[in-house]
Amino acid sequence: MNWVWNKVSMNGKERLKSMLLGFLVICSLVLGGKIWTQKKLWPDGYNFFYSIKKSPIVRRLTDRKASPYTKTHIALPDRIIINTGYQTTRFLLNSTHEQFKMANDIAYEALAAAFSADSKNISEASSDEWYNTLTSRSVYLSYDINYSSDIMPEFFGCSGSAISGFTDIISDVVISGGDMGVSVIFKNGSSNRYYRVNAVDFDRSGIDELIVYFQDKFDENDTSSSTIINYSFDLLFDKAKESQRVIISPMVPIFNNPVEYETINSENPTARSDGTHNSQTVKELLDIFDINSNTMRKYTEADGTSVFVENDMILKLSPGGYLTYTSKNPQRSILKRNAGSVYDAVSMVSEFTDRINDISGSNKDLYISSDLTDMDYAKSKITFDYIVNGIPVTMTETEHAVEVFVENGYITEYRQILRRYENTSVITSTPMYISAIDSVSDNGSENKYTVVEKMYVSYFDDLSIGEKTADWRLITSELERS
Amino acid sequence: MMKKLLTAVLIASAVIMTAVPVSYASYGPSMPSEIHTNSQGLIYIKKPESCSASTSDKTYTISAVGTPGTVVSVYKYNASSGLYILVKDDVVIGSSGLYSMVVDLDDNSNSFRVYAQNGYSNQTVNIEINKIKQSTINKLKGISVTIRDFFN
Repeated sequence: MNWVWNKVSMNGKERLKSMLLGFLVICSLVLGGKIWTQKKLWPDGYNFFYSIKKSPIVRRLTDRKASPYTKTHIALPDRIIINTGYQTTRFLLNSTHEQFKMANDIAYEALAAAFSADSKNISEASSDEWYNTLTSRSVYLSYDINYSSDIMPEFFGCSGSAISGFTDIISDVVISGGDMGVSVIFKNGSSNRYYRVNAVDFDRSGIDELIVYFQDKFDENDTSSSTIINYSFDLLFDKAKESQRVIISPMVPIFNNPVEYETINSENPTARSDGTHNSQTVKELLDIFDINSNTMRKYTEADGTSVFVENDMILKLSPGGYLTYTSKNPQRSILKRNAGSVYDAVSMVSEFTDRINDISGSNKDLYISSDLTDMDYAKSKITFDYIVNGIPVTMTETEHAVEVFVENGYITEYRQILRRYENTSVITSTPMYISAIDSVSDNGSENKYTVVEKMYVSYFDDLSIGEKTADWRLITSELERS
Repeated sequence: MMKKLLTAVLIASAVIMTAVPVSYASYGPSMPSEIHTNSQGLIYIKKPESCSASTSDKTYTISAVGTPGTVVSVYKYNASSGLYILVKDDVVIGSSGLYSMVVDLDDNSNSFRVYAQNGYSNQTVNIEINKIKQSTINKLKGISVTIRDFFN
């Protein structure tokens, strides 16, 4: 009996030893692997595993699931207006409205079908057709920028679209359901010419259902003062008349009542209460910019800006949250995945900005604010700005929130105002639109018309920390009186 | 005699002095159908382009341009009282010269009067907005007219 017990005990001991040994081997592999793959123990380029992790293939695979906001910044309309067919009742949707996604998904499919259409389904349309479509049942997509007709289709999964044979620029889009199928009219904002595409492969029921949904709201009296929207051309404010000093571009939506928005609070997400930066955030920022925190030099400027230098790369982070990066040698620059085209470069920059926002805790909702036309692959500038509560944030002290310079597919310069905006639940009203127009008119000259090119509600950020309210933003030009 | 003449002259001049501003004073909550106006250039109605228009909407936006400083109000005709009743209070046209106002519509006929006043000058513009049912518009859209060749 004792012999049997000893044998069992011996076997148990051996098994325990084996299990312990196995556990230690697994631990050493896991922990060693972690150190090899996640920590940069050596200068950049020396670590084999780190290089694999940074390789284009692995990066492409990991990026795909990492950034849900990527590309939505680029191809998303800044607002969608549902034209119900009633003269002044229209529904304006921005990204905060619950129906925005539904409308955008339908519009996306319609545009994808239009971009896939062959040239025999494309024809030039008159301005009357454009305006008639906007006053009948249709969906108007307003974009903040002009797109090259070569680049825009790529965001809808179509390359080599026939539309680029008709127009080089796409600035506005209106989609209408008709008896013959869905028509998509593209506007070239620089030549003021229009192109109709019969999206024959697109099922019109989606567009019809969308418009009927909003018409039902009208019929059920589920409307408010905010649904009374005219375009400038409705009110003939785009046509000059004696005693009129301001002309409003035809597609500017005019709200006949003040607009209400929530006041927001602006914060610098990298700053700690003692005025220093969060060290973990700084380390992760250095990592993403490929600056080795072990070998770099660091110093602080008189204004408190932290400066990190490695080889040709300089990263600065000011106490106010202004991040700048410059690289004198593009080949050694970040994002060694060489962007092969303008489309690739723009997508890559968008993804990179997403990662910066993830690390710094900045707002992730951004929109592209630089035209995607005539972009020079050799040297170009791409800008983004923040969107909060569906409306843009205008930086009053800098041109844009994010400015990225790309040379031959490499980022050579990157600037960003790192900001986190929080709602305060305090609602404020804008003044009447006409007050804003009167104030720009006051500054205009007597012998010229002031032309309001764009007018929309925006938050204004002067880089100070604290509350920001929404107000009208007008982009104007001047026109000689004839 | 001289005293009476002087008194009469003074009263007459006082009446004349007050009559001019009174006749062009801003109307209150209502306005008679017939009023005296003395200007045509204070305000120009852009929309509607003619003095009448039709819509199926519940509201209508009147747009205009006018001389800065002109005070504009909108009245709506009330058939039972025979008066125009104030529906949109005074708005002063700013330096842009632009003016727009949303008015609510009843079914069928709606008679509006835009009243503009600037100093001693005043002007009225009457506008007729017909509210028709969307179904009527759809029916009208569905009607096709065939032009026959009557000469053969």
